[in-house]
Amino acid sequence: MVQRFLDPQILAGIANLELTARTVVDGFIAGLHRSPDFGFSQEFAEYRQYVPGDDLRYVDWNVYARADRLYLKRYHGETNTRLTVLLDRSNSMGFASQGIRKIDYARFLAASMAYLAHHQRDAVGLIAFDDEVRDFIPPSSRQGNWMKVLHAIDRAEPGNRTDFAKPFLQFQEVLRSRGIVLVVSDFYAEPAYVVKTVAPLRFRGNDVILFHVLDPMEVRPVLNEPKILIDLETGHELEVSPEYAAGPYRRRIDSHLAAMKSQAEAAGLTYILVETDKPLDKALREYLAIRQGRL
Amino acid sequence: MGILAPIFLTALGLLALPLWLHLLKRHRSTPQKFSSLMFFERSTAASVKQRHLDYILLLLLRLALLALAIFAFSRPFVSRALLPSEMNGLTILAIDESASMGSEDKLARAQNEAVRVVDSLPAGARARVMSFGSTSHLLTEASGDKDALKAAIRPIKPTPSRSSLGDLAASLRNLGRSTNEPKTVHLFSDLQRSSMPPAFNELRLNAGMRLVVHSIEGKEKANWTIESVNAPARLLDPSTSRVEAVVAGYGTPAASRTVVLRANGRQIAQQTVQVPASGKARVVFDGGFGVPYGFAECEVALTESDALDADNKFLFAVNRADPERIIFSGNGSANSGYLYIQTALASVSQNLFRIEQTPAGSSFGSAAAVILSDPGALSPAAEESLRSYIRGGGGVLIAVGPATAAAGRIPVVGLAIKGSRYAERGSERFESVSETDQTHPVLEGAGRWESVRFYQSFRIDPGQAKVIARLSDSSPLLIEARLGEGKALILASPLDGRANDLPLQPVFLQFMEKSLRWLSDAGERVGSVTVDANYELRQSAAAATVEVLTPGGQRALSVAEAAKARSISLDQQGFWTIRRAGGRAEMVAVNIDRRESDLEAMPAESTELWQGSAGSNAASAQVEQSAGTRPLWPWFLAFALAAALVEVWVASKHLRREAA
Repeated sequence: MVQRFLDPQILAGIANLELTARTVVDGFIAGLHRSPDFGFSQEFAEYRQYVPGDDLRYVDWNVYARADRLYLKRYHGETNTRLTVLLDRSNSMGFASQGIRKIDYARFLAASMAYLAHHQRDAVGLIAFDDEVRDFIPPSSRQGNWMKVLHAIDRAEPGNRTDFAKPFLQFQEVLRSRGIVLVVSDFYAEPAYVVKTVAPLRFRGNDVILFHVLDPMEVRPVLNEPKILIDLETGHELEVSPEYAAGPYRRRIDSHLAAMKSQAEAAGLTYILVETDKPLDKALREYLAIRQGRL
Repeated sequence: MGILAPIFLTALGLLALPLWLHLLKRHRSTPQKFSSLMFFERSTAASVKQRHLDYILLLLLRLALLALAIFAFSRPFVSRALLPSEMNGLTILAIDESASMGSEDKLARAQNEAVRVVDSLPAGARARVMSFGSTSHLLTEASGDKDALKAAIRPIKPTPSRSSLGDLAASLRNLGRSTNEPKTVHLFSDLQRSSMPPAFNELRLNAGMRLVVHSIEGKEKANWTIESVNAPARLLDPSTSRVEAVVAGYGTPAASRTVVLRANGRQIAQQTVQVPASGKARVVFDGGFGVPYGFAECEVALTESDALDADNKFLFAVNRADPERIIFSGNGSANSGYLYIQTALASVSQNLFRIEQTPAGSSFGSAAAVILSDPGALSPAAEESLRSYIRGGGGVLIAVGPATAAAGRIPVVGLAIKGSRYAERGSERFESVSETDQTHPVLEGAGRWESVRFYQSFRIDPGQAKVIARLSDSSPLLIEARLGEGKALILASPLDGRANDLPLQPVFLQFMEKSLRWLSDAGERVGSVTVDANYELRQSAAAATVEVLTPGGQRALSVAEAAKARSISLDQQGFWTIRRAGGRAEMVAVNIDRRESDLEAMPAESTELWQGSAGSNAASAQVEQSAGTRPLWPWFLAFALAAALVEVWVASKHLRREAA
């Protein structure tokens, strides 16, 4: 029942982005209650022997009374991290074959991730970019910052061409402390170039997750008649036949997606392909799995 | 199979047009925005192919339509085996039988020439014989029997009709359309210049028709004729009668001619007149024309013989009779109209009419016309008597007055009177004539009707009758009504001199004379007409039987024709007698057309041009027809039309589908 609230078509009808994110995350969590693999909040994780320098606030005094040893009680929720969302707002993200645009899906995704992180008291930051960095909210766990992030996500609208090189150079300057970096983009560039541009983030100890957002029509295009396709970013026009869209194009896009996945994973990047007609839970699961791995 | 106009096949290049249009049409692609063209390449060829298949039927239909039309224009034909009788086509022998062919031995020479042509025909060749004057007559079917053809040629005699080459060409064109085989026309004629149509184009013949002219010229061209005679058709006073004749010469030197006037075969007068070279001279016979009562067969004739004797006499019929009896019938004050009418007739046509005043209801049998001045309501017997008089060909003038208006209807003709209109003299309130039918014999050349003032008039519902004059308020003033063979003229105002001032106006004289002439047919009788003129026998099919006697005394009409025929063509020279119901008789003299008198032949250049144009038509069709070919272009055109219809249907289906 709650799964339907993860349907992007339904989410598109919710005007408030925070409410959207809350709906997604709450619905997602409600669907996880029987899962043994994931937890959150102040959930007990383990005991660890006290070493000098540890915060005495986390010492379990009851254990000390019984065993006369100092142990620290660890909780999952106490392991905070920094989540930085890199949101591609280039023109190509404005494409929609049916109902929801890629940028909208990416915004839901970013907002949901940010909300989930904020809910776990992680610091959340946002960088919106196309061929320049258009919005930058440094990661912080304060309530006010969370609202800034939401607003920045909300105003992310397709604006210009994509150019990974320039903004990612700036990211390397900004993302100095380790954390989780989510790159939400349609990655219309050569896989080698994308990986080469994004991989340096990984070298700084970040966990980098590439969310490759594509419209189903981009993956499996169906043309009933010859059409003149107009590139949203360059404005170039090209006449395309249905036969080409059904044959050569699919082979090329499949090859591209395979190359993206293999080269990203080879570079230690997590690659997740999401299509805009699919619910958001897959992306959330991936994110939580990676965060779990960081604990 | 072959093609007569292969140049049109170059238009097959136009077949590329629908192909190109289809490709262009199919090439139309709808634009659509896409995120990135990174993985796309231009690919249109396959698209065109795929879409083209959807419209392949439409394309094929359009290609077929164009190709069929082009092939139709290139005039394809198929050869077929000719029957032996068709090998030489059809020969048509056209022999002139007009009056001019009666001069010297022209017709005999023409017949001999035609027989010679028949003899020269190859075995199996077919021919037809036709004679022509003002009309053409096919004397045989297409036949290869030379004896039968000759038998049809020999009996041809000269007729009094004139020759018309234009009508002959029209007949040949009609004949040419009946079959596709080549035709050769042998024309035997003296080719008079006067036989030429006004426009040379009327002489054109069909393609595939070859003309061979056999000119039958006479040795003597000089010809005198009595061109016209002006004599009274109705002779009232023999002592003052006068006959004028015009003697004309064609190709003649100046010479004196003796002209005689005969009546019923008896010579009455003779004169000698000097006729200038190729000119005309007038002869006047004054001082009496003594013929007995009744119709007289008269003629003005030249005593000397010349090239064409048939036109040396001019026939005309004269009717010696007393003045026509006009009956005037009126009641009360309306009798005053009698004096006006009597005075008017006496001043304009002395001795032509004799007017008698009789009370209403008396016998009208012998009257030429009847005038009813405000008759009122007639007794049924009187009305029936009058009606039978009109049906038998009589004429009645009815002046409507107060008594008739009180009866509510006009007797005999039965037209309803809807009311009357009065105007006072003092205030100058009157009505005048606003509209007259100048083509009607009663009003033809009518004077100043508009100056006549009508103070009292009656509104008559004309029904089916013909209104020939109207007053200023558009109400009918003069109405013509027909009843059987007779006619009635209704005047919507009295003739008493008080209801209007018509009797006091000069136009009254003309009106009375013309109307009485028309009603009594005195003005319509003619003394002579030309051959082949149509003579009107009756106005309506319901009229009584009319008997027509030819100059030889034979009945010209069968019993059925005598009861129904509206007119008859007077095709013989001489005196025709027409007997109508009620003992009325007419005599008409029929003369040959004087255009036959000019024996001058048409210019040789015109003859050559005519043969040449017919020859070129034949040449253009020679390949097609002499080889026994059958043209296919009508079939191609029919298939093209069918393709066009199917194309429209298929295209509309596609349009509906696209619209949906």
